[in-house]
Amino acid sequence: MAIDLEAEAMVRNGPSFQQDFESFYARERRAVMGLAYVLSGSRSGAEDLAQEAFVAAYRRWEQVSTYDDPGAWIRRVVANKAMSWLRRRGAEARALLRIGEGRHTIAPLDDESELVWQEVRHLPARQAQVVALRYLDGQDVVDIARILGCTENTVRTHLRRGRETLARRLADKESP
Amino acid sequence: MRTLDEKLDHASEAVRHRVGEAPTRPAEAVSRQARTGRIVRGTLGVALLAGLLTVSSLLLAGRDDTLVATGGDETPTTIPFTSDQNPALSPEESAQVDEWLANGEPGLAALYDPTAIIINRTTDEWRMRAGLYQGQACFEFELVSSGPHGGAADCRTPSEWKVPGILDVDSQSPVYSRPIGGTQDDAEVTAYGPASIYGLVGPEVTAVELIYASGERHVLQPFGSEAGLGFSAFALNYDPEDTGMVVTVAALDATNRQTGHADAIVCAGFLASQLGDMATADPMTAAYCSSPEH
Repeated sequence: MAIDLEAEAMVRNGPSFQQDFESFYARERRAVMGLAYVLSGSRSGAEDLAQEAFVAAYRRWEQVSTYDDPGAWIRRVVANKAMSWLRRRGAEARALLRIGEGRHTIAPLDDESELVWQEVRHLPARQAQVVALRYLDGQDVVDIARILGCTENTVRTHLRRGRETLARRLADKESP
Repeated sequence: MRTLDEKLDHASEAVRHRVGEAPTRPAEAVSRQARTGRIVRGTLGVALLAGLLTVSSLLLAGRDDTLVATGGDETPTTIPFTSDQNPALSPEESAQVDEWLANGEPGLAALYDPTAIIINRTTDEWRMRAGLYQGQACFEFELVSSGPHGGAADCRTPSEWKVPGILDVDSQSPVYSRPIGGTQDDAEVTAYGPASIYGLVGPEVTAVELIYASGERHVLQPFGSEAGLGFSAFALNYDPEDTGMVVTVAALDATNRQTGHADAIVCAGFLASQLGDMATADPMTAAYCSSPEH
């Protein structure tokens, strides 16, 4: 698998490539990081997850930049990566014991907000993604369907079920 | 009392606010990670060998999936298999797997994995898969839980391909895997605390010898070669009394001698059995495979 590193570097170091990507990064970074945060629940890992997604975009930027909506592509990537991260959260917590707590870049949420997102993360993965994209990212059903690669009806179903479950669980938590 | 929409809106605004306050990494950090990961190939193993990297830096480095190969030079190290030789993947399927992996959907990619090898451990079962991705051997490990939701259900849980060089952490244990490429007949693995040494060997290898720092040797048979990929796997639980012991993994041929075949050991690494043990290992808890100069 020969890779012409020099040629590749020339392309990637080109002003158009860099400016294009940097503009994309500046535009999408906070939204992607927010998604990574609420879906992974990791204050320490959200930034890394977001960066992983952007690195993936960077490596394929010649292709990704031609998509109708590169922002949809990177949201899908980070949503998937965040769910993988969530499955590994136990290990992450233990890893933090070793590397210390100093890597948090996001300040903690208030208790009420933290509870809401905790319950979102307890939803089935697709429902959690739909809820996060709808509320945090402000996407409508059409856009969520495009981001997640499913039909609008599927999004509506996930949203409805997710909301029903959330309402029930949050009400239970508020009950004395 | 807030409605559900109000709660979600409030929680969303709180996140946006916190993220907005968080320090911003420059875009250059992304491009540098993407670029330097390729350029530093071959040097990371040396750095690890010298123990120069801390756990945190290793964690960060390991997430850089550009660190796909170690080697003594800047040439990407690949094993002498190609997807053409993989009976399970057509070129179209390979392309699809690439797409899934790029999109962060390794579980779908794993469905195309041609082998599944079960390693029985004392209390758990580890399902190890070995496959190919872009001509390189990949591992994935998956804990088959014995808990209430274990068994078949967990077997179907998609887990991630461990492209050699990626540090990854599954639900139970850290998996540190580094390739040594297809150009050598032995490798060094440094294990800290109880661990399972594992790896892939080429088709001509009939046995693997683990040579501990104490001089103790252990020969074991690779298994799984009938699975169809032409290479087989080995794994052994290992519990060094001292941390940081180096184990040399040597591939043996039918005459029980070190093979000298160029592609004898595809990759090797270690799987820590208990992170608690690893937590006491400082500063470097990872395993690695030596680069060819060893």
